[in-house]
Amino acid sequence: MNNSRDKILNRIRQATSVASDLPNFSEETDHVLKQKIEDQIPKNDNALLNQFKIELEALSAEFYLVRDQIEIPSLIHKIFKDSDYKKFSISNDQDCQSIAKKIIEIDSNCSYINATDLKDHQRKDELANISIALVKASFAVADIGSLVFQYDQNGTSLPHFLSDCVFALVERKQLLPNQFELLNKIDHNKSKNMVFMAGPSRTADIEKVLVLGAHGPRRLIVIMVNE
Amino acid sequence: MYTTPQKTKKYIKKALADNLLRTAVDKATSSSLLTRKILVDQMPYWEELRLKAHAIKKDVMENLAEYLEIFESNCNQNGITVHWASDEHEARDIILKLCQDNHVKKIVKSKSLTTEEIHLNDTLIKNNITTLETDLGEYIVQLNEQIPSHLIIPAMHLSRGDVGKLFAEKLGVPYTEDPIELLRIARARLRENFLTADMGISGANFGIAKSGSFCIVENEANAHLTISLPRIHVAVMGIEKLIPDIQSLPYFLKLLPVSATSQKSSTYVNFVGGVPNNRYGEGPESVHIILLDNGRSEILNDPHLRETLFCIRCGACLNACPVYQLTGGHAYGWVYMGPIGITLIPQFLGEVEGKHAPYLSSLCGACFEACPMRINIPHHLLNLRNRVVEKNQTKKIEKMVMSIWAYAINRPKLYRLLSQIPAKLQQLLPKNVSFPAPGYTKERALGRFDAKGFRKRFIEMD
Repeated sequence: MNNSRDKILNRIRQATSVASDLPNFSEETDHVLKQKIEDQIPKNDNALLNQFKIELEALSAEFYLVRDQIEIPSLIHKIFKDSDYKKFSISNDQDCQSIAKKIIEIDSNCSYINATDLKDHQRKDELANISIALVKASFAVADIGSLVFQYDQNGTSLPHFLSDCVFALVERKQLLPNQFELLNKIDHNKSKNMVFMAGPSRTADIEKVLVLGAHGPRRLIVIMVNE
Repeated sequence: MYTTPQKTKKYIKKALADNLLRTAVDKATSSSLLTRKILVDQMPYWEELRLKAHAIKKDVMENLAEYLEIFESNCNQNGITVHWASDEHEARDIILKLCQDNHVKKIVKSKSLTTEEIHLNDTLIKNNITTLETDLGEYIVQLNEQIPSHLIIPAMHLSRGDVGKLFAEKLGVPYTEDPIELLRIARARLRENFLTADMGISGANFGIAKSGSFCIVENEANAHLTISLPRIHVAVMGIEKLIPDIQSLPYFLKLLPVSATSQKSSTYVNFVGGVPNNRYGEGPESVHIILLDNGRSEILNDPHLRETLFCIRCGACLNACPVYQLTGGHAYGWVYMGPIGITLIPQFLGEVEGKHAPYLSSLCGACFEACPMRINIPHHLLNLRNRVVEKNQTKKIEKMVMSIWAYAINRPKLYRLLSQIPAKLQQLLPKNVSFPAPGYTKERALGRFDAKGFRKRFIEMD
């Protein structure tokens, strides 16, 4: 038993034996808060989608809505075909793999690498040299314009952060209104490690001038599949 | 650079004489305040949200021992090793031992005020462990051998020209004052180090008791790389940072970015819940969390002042404070600055070292209005000033004046008589000349006393 542990806990128990007289939170206020949060949720699916798009773009991410997955390979190829990059990394996901294969069918100069196929010691260096990533999010959250990646399940979060340009897929049916609904829905026992991502990395640490591409992606392109 | 709140008067004089500093701080704080206001106005539930977050923290503080035990047990289940540190020495020793046991030569750090509080970098560097701050602002102040001057914008006191000169001198790159180019330089330097570091060290914005996980909020993606690239991860978290469960988190995730960086949401919210799935061999091989007391359990003793532990380190009170706006953060002489800092300084460092701190406020209440956690900072400052008096830390002249005033205020007739004296004496001075007041009238004029007096004017009011 850690000696400091017991000392700290004993000190806390002694200190908190006197309750504070700070004001209590009434049930009525709790009800008002819940109601006001509820009132902010858009009333139909299109409005919800629009809210997600607005919030996402406010954090400098780009947004595309496609009818189905078939449209995605040509869209991605169209966006990066004029760049020098021909290799991209993908997260360990069935949809990303099939889209990657289709992109190669369109352009045989392209190649892809599944992040989790690489051994750990190779993975960092290899992924740090690949400029484009294709990843899939578990959920999207409308009121904060964020994607949710539960990477315990697919085993990687490095393509998302080491690449300059990240294409992120998400299904429209996984769009939720807010974090309250998200965190009620997620089984946190199954997904301890996860990240919300709302845009390219950014900083305003020098004279509060906003600059994109701090340490993570410089571009985040979200492709939402309507089907 | 050694700083202490005992030298705060010297630091304030230096800060007030620095016009460039005042311009930089004023520009940064006023733009933050404006954007924050726009966002708050868009959230009709802002006040209820503050009340809710306050209530959650109140519950946590009053049952902290139980929540810490739940957190520890769930962390253990998730494979996170929990360490307990009574003070900064113990916290540093734990980290040093982890470094020695794991042959750590290089560490990357994401922004953590708690590690600043325990002076971790100095210890690591003295022990020949390369230690690099990776948040851009922290990287800049580390290169400049300073401590942060703002809780959220560590290099707020420096201009782009200052940063350009610093990079040219310390990194040997051509001078530039273009923020895009400066970031490009820092990104390239730090990316190299992320890939080769043995250990990542972070703080934690929130520890989630029921999940046995912790959460780090950021914009730069350096925290995520600090968590996911090195083979060992260590988080240093104050014991007060707990929340009960993940369902409580959204309240804080709404309040924090608006108050900290004037954004509706942070770009990245990282959840660390143990060693990631080994099947794929990515992420740290071991995750450690150090639960730091370092005076916090002492603060809990006071049922009123324990509210100061509700702070989520957003920096909103700094931006709103007319004193901070003039002096910047270094004038306070410690890692926690501004209104919340001056409540923490005497509590963490003691009434002798922190005796000046509670007086660095006009008590205007702007900090209370800005605080997303509804911490009644002005009220706590009055309590802390009272402690300074009780501990006999005030000057003789101040004691004398206050005892005369206390004597008079209890005798209304005498008080009325005495209060007429300044206006009478003033008649001896030439017209338009007011009394000199040491310190105050050096830079500005004191208004003349009204001959009629407040009492008469008040009676005349309808």
